[in-house]
Amino acid sequence: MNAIDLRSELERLHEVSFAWARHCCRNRDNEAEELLQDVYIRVLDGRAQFDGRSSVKTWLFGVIRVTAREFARRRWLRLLLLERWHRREIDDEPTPDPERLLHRSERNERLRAAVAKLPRRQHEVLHLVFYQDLTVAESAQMLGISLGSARTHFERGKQRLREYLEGGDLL
Amino acid sequence: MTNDPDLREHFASLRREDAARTPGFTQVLQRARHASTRITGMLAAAACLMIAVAAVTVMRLVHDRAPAARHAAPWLADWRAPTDFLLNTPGRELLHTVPQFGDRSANGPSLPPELNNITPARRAGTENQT
Repeated sequence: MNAIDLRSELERLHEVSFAWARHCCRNRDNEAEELLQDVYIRVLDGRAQFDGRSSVKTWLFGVIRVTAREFARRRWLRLLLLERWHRREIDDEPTPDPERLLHRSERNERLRAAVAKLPRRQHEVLHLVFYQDLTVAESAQMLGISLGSARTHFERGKQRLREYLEGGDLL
Repeated sequence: MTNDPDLREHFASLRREDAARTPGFTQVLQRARHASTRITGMLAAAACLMIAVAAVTVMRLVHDRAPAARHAAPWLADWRAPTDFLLNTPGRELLHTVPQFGDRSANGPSLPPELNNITPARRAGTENQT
């Protein structure tokens, strides 16, 4: 796959990639964008190479997930280097639009809170299946776990999520 | 997988909401390029700074050591061995003085006054003539 194809694939998958990046960063938009920037640079510079063993989407999600873990490990170092401060000084980060924030429905907030309360594997599988429309098998491949294990996480996650949503004690 | 329409509907609603606040691809890519360039610049600047600090440190060390060396040189020159006195052998002063030859005032009768200003060669010639 050449650079032009890769770029067009990234563009095609941008919205779902951002959603997955946001999920990996626990719904922090700024971090998700930073993460995605790093992923795009890695992919376009050839540091992350697509080997054709899975779909581009599964592969890209894997790169995002691995990079998110590295980000979490490096966070303290980056704070130490004042990169964050530097970035804040230079970047014209768009501040969240208050009007748009108001439009977030209560139901969606409840769902976010419920998903966040689930164990990591469970909310990862649920996000990949319900939000990203991957199959459980694809999710298992992406997360590097067996299909049986993914199914177990999926079923338990669904059960817990329903309990949380019906309980109504999330917010 | 299609048995959960309630959950699928929940997530679809969430996805629609998230789509509205997703930054554009071009925007993210431009920022990525900008950030990459900036990080490279920061690394280069950090490397230059480290080299400069190392150079200054080395220069300061060299500079601080030089006066010490200057002070140490005279001290070494002044040093005397504890056994130095053994070299002061009897009669050693003879080696430091120049012997006087032809001083007759000390050893014999003095020359007549007319020969005092004459060189030894001429004096020898004068004596042979007489």
